[in-house]
Amino acid sequence: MQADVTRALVERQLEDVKELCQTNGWEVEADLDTLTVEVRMESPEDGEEYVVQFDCEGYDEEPPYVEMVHPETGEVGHYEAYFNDRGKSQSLIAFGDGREDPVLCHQYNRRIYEDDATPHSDWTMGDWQSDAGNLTTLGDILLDIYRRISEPERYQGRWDGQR
Amino acid sequence: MTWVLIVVVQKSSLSHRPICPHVSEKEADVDAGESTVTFTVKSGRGDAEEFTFQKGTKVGEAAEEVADAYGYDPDDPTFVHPDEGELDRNKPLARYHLDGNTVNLVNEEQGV
Repeated sequence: MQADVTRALVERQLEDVKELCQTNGWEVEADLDTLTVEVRMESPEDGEEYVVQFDCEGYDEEPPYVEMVHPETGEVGHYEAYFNDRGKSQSLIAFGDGREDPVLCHQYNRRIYEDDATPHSDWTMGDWQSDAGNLTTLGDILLDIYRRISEPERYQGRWDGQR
Repeated sequence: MTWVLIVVVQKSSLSHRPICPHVSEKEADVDAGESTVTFTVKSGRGDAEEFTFQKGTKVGEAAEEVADAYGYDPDDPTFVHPDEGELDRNKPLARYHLDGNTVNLVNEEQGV
């Protein structure tokens, strides 16, 4: 039952995502059976490709599980799939088990609640929608990531697993 | 005896008033000549409307107006242009090539 509700919601939001794809030159692939969505985008700063993957099981009672996918190998969560937005404060990138385990650190990411290695063990998943502010739809989350790779002072290129 | 009241409005006073979003391009041109810029703003929630602002308007001010119109809780919003990247909130719209283009609305969100 929840899966049907989620599927309908994801299907609706996919239309908004496709609109953003048209404007920004992104590519989207979605599987409504497995409730996964992948969006490939390019940094306007250096042309590097990034792939954002949403696992939407339980959405939107729970936030989506958001991971980065390596644009060439397809490996999910590899550190080289991530960007470095730590050029100034309020970065999105934080770490789980060391510098080779980056995570998108925001209330909109289910991984933060489920992965004990990540920071913010005090966050409550049930409050995610109010805590995530403006970022509760797939489109808004994608735009938040896109801005991180679009601002020269903040964006420092692909994550190298060290800095 | 018939009195005739003549009211004179200086055009310069009109040109400094803010131009609201949703005003038609034709109306904007009448009010402010070529000093306006019109572009479409998309949001992550499916909004995609055309807005007209004076070119001297700062990016941040325009983005706040759009965020408010779209029902967001504005938090230092700005625009991301697919070619020019994130626009500087403190610069005027005239600094960028926006006329007829489409940009994305983004808010400054928390991080670590």
